[in-house]
Amino acid sequence: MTHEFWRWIRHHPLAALAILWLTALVVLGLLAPWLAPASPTAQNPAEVLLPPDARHWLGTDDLGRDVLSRLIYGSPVALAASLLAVAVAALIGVPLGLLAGFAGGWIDMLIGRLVDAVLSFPAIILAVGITGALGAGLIDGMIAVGVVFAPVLARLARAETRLVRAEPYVEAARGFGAGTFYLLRRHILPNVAEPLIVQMTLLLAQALLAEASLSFLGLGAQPPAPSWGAMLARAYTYMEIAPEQMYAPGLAIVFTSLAFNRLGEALRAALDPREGAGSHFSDADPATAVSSDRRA
Amino acid sequence: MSVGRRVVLGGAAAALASARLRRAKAEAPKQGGVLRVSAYGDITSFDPATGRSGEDHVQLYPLYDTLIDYDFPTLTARPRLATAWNFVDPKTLVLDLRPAVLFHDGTACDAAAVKYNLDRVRSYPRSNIKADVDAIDTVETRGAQQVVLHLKRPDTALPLVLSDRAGMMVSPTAFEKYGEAFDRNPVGAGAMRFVEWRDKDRTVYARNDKYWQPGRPYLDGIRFALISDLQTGLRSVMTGENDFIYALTPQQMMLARRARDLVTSASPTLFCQLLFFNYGRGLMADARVRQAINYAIDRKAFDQASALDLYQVAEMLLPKEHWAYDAALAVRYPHDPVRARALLAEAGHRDGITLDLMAYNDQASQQRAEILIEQMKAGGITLRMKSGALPEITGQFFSGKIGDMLLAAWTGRPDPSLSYALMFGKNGYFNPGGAEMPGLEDALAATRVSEALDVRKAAFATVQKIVIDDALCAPLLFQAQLVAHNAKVQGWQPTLLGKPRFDDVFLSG
Amino acid sequence: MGGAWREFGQRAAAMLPAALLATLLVFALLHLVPGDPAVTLAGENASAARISEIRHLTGLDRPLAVQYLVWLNGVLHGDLSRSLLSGMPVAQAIAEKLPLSLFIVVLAMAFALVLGVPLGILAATHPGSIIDGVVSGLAALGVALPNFWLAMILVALFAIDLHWLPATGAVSLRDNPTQALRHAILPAMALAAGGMAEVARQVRGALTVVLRAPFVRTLHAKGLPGAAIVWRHGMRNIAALLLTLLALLFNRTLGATVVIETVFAIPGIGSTMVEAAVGKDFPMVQGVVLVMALLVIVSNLLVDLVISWIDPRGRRSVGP
Repeated sequence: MTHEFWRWIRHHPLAALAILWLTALVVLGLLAPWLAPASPTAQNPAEVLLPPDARHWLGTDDLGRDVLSRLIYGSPVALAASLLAVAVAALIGVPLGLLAGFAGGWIDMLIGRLVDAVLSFPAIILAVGITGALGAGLIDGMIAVGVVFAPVLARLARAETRLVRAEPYVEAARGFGAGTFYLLRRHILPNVAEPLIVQMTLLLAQALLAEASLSFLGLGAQPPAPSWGAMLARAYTYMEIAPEQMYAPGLAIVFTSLAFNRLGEALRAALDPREGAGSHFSDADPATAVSSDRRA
Repeated sequence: MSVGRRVVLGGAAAALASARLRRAKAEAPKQGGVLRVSAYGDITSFDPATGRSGEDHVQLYPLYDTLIDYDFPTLTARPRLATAWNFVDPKTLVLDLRPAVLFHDGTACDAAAVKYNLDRVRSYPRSNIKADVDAIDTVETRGAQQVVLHLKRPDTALPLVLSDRAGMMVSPTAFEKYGEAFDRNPVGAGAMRFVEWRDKDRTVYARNDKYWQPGRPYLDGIRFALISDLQTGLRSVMTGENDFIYALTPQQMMLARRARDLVTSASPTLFCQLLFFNYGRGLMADARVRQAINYAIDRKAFDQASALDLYQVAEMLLPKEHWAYDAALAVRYPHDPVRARALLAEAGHRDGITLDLMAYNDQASQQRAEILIEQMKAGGITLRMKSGALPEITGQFFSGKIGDMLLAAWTGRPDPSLSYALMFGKNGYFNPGGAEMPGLEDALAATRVSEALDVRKAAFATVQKIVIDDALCAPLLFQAQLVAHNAKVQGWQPTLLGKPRFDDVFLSG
Repeated sequence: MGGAWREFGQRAAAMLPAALLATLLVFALLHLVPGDPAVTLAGENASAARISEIRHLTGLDRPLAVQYLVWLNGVLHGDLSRSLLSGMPVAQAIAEKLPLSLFIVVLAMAFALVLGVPLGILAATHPGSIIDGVVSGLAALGVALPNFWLAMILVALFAIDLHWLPATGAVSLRDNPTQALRHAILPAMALAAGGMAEVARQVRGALTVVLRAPFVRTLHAKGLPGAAIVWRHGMRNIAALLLTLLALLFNRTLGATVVIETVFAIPGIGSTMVEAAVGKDFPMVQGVVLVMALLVIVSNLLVDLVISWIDPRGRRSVGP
């Protein structure tokens, strides 16, 4: 077993690195109170904006808080936020897509119109609106992001559902009188699950970036809870005094986003080894939900 | 050009002291040049009656002369379009007008025009300042240079009220012509006339050649670059795109000081950062809780952490320099977390309390909130923060009565009675508690009865004592007017009101 | 060709309801957000009486359906109404701010294509090599970078440290083309990173498939030089892909300008929209959403049109 494990790592070094990083984040997040060198909220006016040194490995921020500790405490926030957004997107988008793809006809058209309307909506307005309606805050911001991403999953679910539904064995099952729900559960869902899971993993990266953007605009996480996006927003106001403040949270976001992407790519390669990269449109970004789908 | 952080931040106080000594060589005023100012965003309206923000004034003052002016350092009243005024009895105010003043469109600014204006601000449906001049019953003209205001009740705040929006004279001809569009087409009698306004981009003014002050204005024009991001604005001054920027943050002030070719200036203002209390509900209804909050705050540390020691600690709603300041109230609430906990225990909360703090979502507000949240922990107060955009949070707190406290600021009014009425008067919108504190209404009325400054000052002392003793709010800091400009800009005089005036500015070289 | 235009017209007409539906959604959504523009309009001297007076003056006290229908009626007569907060005609505001954003978006798309297409071709023609790895790496990075972070870095480097380019603001093309370009370069670069990555990845992917096809090997065997194969046959087959990409790039970049405009303090359509939404300036938000939705729809349609013109059989299989 271990032999195969090491072989896999040697063949997929980047994917292994990605999994390692994400696991580290989870561990750090869970064990933050024990692993972080300091409290993420303890302020010290005498130690403001210090460069990295022995006591503060990544320096201190504008209120004298330890940057490394804030990064560590911020990792569960980052992970949970992304997961929440994608979960919301799936909860909304997948059932709609399944329904549209399976039922066809006017249901399909109706859902299609709805998806189109949401897609032509500027995403940021949706976010502003929803966070405004629910109250600004991380959870509400991520729900907004989830709503924005839902059409992507809806589209994918619909496309895949239609493919599976056309399969002969599904037709046969229907001929035997199998009910809709049974068909969905037994035949459709297992077959569409794989591409959906791949897409959801790739969306995690986008959700993370969306959280950062929302926090940057002041619509996301509430202080004093540390969030990487909020740290970047603060760093922006101190850009001339202390430009290096923007690197740590920025790199954390970039690495995590890369890791999510790599994980998604690895999943896709593992689950569907026949498909070479790029033989169908890469969906690393939700906006690439294809317009040519409309013709399909 | 990255700046050494420690030098920048550590040297705050020292740099401040040395900068005060560093003045450009005094020169004789020269004619000419266009002053390019980086302004903190769009004006809400060029019609003084319909505008709604204290940030507007900087762009209104050059266009509109007021009936009465205020002394820059102390805010006492002084003549402008009115050369003299007199309360012949407590309910009659007579204004003598300056002769031969013209609006930008040539209309005479005489008694008829003044009457038109004073009637307009009271009757125009879109006027936001009706409350300020509510005491006026009728306006009568006596000849071309005298106006008599008949009042419903004594109101000695009126002269200073007439140094603000209500006193900004607009041309009747122009207002008749434009109506609502006057918001975007101002015509006043000020030193500058309006040329254009490109939303979120710039406003441009040109010299009023018919201005009544001889030799003024020195400038050929003013251009306000509307840059709502202060960093961007400061950069524009550093690179020479603009000449002048005001309302800098303390952090930016440090940067500006290090720039070799910039002159900086710091001066006290009325602009007060404070915690509004919703003292009408819940835990906040207990005065001991409110006092505990005041004791739990370490204002000096707050100044240091958020303002690099550049601001002034606020013990009441008026700064030291103001004529109505009462030294007896100073340091009513020294920093004392132990006392805070004791008061909470007295009020039945031995294990501390949790309160909802509302705040705006800009970075500066967030930073201030974070500091306060930490400070209050030691006093046994846990704060749950809810932040959002300014319009939303303001509405929620003041209209919707949501939240226990709001971290915000008060831009100050030319007459303190206006501030107190709006913030603590029974019907004041910015009085979330809504309750009527015993004695406050009478004390407020007493501030408007006599013209004599010492009588008013004593009346204000009563008002302030009620407000502070009952801890109806928690004043935090008075912001300083932090300004940076290049060496060409001369003649800049700061004001205690904190809304920049360019009256005597000229460009050298 | 006439048939294609007619079809375009029909589909455009069918899309209009979708754009209007978007404005209805916005209207409804914003009303769910707590906050009252009348409070903002009352400003510093607010009072409860004044606020209700304002609500009445501006028509905010009418039933919601009436408010929306009045606005809709105006739109159908060509009037986008006025900003609730500044009084400026919405159409004028859009006419002033949209070009600023569009300039940056187009510039960003140009960067993305000019960098992304060659990189994609390089990677496809050297599969499995270091070049391929580098391109893939760059593509992965481009998608993972927060664009406003990239913007901050660009500002720190090119504007603050080197003083080569301005850090702030925007200049209209009409006023001063050189300055307009200088102000637009950094924002466009920040926006282009993600797009470049996407373009490179897509081009690489599609071209790889094309180059593996049997007919290509036949052409090779016949002695046709590699470059000619790529150019004449490879690119033609992925032309449709590229066009679709253009549309997607346009939509996505347009949406992303909001944050970039914040970093660079550009008074473009994105920041206008956010501020209007935050301030509950309904006419402004709805007007902007309508225009942006129409832009998106029209660009999609145009691309579909061009694709069907180039490739009437709508085939997606690969051939000579």
